[in-house]
Amino acid sequence: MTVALFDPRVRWLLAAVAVVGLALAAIARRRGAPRLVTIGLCATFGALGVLAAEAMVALTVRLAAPGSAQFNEHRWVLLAPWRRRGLWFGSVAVIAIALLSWRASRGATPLRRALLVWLRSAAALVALVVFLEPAIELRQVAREPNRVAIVVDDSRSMGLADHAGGPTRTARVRALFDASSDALAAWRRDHQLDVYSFSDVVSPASLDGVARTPPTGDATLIRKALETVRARYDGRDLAGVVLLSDGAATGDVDDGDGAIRDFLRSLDTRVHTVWMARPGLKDVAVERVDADEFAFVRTVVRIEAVIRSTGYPARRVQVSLAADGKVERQKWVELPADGTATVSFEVTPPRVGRYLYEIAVPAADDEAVTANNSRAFVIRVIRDKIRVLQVAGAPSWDVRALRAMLEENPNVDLISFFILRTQDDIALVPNDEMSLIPFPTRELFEEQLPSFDVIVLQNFEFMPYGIGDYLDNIRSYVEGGGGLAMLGGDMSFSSGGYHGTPVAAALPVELADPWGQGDLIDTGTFAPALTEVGRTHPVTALRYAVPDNLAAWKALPELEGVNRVLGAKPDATVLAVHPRLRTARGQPMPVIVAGDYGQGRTLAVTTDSLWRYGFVAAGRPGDDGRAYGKLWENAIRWLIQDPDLRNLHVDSDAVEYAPRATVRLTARLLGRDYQPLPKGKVAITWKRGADPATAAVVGTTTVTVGDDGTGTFDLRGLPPGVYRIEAEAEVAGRKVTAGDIFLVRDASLELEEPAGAPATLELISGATGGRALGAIDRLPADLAFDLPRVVRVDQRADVELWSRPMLIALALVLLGLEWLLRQRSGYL
Amino acid sequence: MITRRRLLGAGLVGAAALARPRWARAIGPGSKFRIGQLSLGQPAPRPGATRRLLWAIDKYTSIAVDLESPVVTPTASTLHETPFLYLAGDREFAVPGPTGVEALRRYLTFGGFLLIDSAEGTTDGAFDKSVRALCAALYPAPAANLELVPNDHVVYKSFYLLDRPVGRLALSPVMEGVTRSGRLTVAYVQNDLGGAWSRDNFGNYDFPCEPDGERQRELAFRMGVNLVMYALCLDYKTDQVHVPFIMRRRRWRPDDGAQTPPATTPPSKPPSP
Repeated sequence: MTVALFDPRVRWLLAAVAVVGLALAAIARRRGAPRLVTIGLCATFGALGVLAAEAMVALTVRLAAPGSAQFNEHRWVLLAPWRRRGLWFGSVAVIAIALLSWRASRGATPLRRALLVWLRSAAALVALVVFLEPAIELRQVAREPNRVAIVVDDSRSMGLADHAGGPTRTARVRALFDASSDALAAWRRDHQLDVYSFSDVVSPASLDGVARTPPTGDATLIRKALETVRARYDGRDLAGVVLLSDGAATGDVDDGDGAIRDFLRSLDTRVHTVWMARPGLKDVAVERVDADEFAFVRTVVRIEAVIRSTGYPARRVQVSLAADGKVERQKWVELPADGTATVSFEVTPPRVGRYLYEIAVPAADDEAVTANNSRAFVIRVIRDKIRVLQVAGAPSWDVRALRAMLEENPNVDLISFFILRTQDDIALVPNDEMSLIPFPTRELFEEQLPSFDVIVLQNFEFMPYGIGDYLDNIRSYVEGGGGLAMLGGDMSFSSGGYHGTPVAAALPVELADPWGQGDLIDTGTFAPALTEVGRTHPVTALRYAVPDNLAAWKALPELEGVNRVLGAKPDATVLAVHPRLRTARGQPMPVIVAGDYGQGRTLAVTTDSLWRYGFVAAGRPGDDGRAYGKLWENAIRWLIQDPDLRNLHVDSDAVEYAPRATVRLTARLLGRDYQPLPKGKVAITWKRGADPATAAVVGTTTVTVGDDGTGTFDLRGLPPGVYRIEAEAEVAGRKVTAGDIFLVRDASLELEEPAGAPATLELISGATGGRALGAIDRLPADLAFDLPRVVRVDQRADVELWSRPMLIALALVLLGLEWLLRQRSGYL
Repeated sequence: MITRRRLLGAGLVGAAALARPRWARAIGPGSKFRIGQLSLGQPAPRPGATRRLLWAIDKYTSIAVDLESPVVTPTASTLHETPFLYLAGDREFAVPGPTGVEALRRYLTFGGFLLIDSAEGTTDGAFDKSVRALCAALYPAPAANLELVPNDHVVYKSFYLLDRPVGRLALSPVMEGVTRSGRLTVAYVQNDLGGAWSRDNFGNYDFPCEPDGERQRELAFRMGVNLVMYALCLDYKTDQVHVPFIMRRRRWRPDDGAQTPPATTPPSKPPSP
């Protein structure tokens, strides 16, 4: 076996040192610089001495090694007990001897001085060898090839072409393998190559089969892939990993620099990376949306989105925010070149429930991916407090009773405005001696109106206050989901001039023309009679059981006076009627009427004496006057469309789902008394689409609820999209409905950041000791991998260098020559 | 900003207001504000006083009033028909029996208001003692009884801005009252409010006001209006102070600088009446 101390490059270097030293000496001699001549000659002698020493070691091993064995590995050992300390001590001693020799030989000719220093140093080195007792352990070992894992990205982003008409990233992988057969063959000499493809899962593959088909993976989970591959080689000899990817990871390598580095170091193997993407991809994407999962109804909710531009110059784009498939807000945003811009929107959810929002940017020319141009999300809208605006035309006991009742309710945020003085009243006192404030009509009816859940117009005449312009705002407010209650009085309904106004359109009663025939008001006392619907309606249900409710209403004090109306509107629900009065059509005069208008609700109470159900009732033995509070509590909850007042509920168990996840729907059916309705049947339809008007039916089923009134149904295998659930059931002969919305996320985040990210790969290779090969077209043959482990030692032999007679003789010769030279030079 | 359309609209509204038909002034007797004169056996020292106060309320405020003030007793079945009671006297009266006291207590607990007006011209006379005995019976210790009503109480600013309760006299600079659940249920004034309000059928006031004459009478009327306004509006005026803050807190209008795209379908319009 041949033992080489140096590789060829070192040998060439030593030879160069010898030549350069000789040249330096010649030049220095010609210029008369004897010291430089000496240094040059020392360098030449030293370099030649080192080369000679290597040859002597090789010769010694060749001569001393047993001829029968086929040694294929060696290592150095020190037999002396001095170990590393001895090595340091001896080295210092050799250097000291060389320096002393240099000093002692001053005055000699350069050639002689160089020879003296060299001979003394060489002799000292030989002595050091004897002191340290080095030996070479020769071994005949056997190794089994270890594994190199080639991990190829198979996510959908690998199917992108970075330039229009150019090759896809997967095609580049194929081309890379095809062009690297030599390198792969070189790797196979010491290693076995295992190939894997990965996206969200890792799959075994082969060099011939990988990257042959379009990639389909929905994620690029690099960390998971490395973890999985490494786990496959636990207890086995892994030489290294070669990762081929575009670097467009989907989340699992951005856990923080420290965390990912710790993970990569824990792999305990080097990962070489090859970047398969190229610069130049064009894309505009909604990169991120920041919005709270919960928001409060009728309160501004802020939504922020980050728009990213890649490959385009700076330009303006119009970003839009859509709710339930309809664009609500639009904004122009300056997008920088290859950068991001943040855009913020504010929206005001009108009702409690789940809302689907979507932020979108239009597709640009040559854009590689358009699927990431929009991002949908769901916000759950909840209620903090019920916001009630009470506007009264004059203080009265009815006004005071409602205000007191609402103020006592901790769930109500009440704002009252009472007209304390009208234009008809005498004003003799200066304003600064009064506490009156101007009626903030514009602020209330134009600026702040949509912030209320319920508006109560209580005997309020609009005309004297210039509110006519705002009546359509009130109508729009109701149409958009607000609640409106109009209470009777001499300044209400037709008497308040509402006939023919937009507010009248929203009210559930037909108003009489005040210029027409007949009285607008009846001042007689009466006990209103509940209609069939009114016996169980959420507004008039003072008690759960119908007989109890009827008894409760019968025990109430009589009311005084009603506003006459033409009648209830056809689609309105009359809850209570006057016992004697009749409308022009011969119907009982309605007193309490409920109705829907647009997405909102309205309630008409044609008397201003409801307060008698509280204070006057409380004067009766056995009555606590709570009927008034209960009636209004019911009315407010009904007006705000309190979800608890619905008889049917249907909910999905989450707002957002991963593709193919199971969606569990729970239907809850309540009877008229809001108790669970056992064995009820609920028809459920699920539709796909953001816009309720255009959503397509995907499927239907019927769920029979159990004894607890609930039933579940699982939806499986839903493709990505927005889904609307519509449920329908029958309670006491009436159709009740419920709805819900959820989102099945569009096939992961894979194409949301499609541009290649070489930095990710550089991070991985840097942290694992591998090489970031970057964008290459051919794999290198000399890529560093761990050598296979020794699996068997067949033979071993030690060759002691220090005990060779030749070495002793060499030391003696060197010392003798040095002594002789000194003597000749006159140093002895 | 006043637009031409708005100006024309306001003009039309104003014209309509002037030309509107004379609708009924009240929907029924129960909707009008009335004062019940509480009788505990004592003669009413100023029988026409409440009528004059109600007349002033009718003229100066938006409150619809019934000028007649029925006399009620604690045990009368009609007690709760008049949530505002006026108890005036100038001599000792007997505290009602347990039934009457319980009825009055219930009346006050469920929202009634009692104004006690001393007309005896002194702050520690027999009427005063009876009033304190009545209040002690209504709210036995350890419950809080008559206390000074601070001059920043909403009753002093419910309509007019006042700082003390003067009547025909100005003997006591303060008002006393009983507060329950944050609401003033009993107000006790010792300055003979009724004496300042009282007027004969020819329009002459029955008593001069001392020491400040007609200015003091005007303030007495204002105090009466404020008491009625408080009974009907409670702490409405205090609430007004917080309204701007509440409005700001409840921001609903988006302020993001974005535009709302024009509707693709015509907005729905109200159907023709």
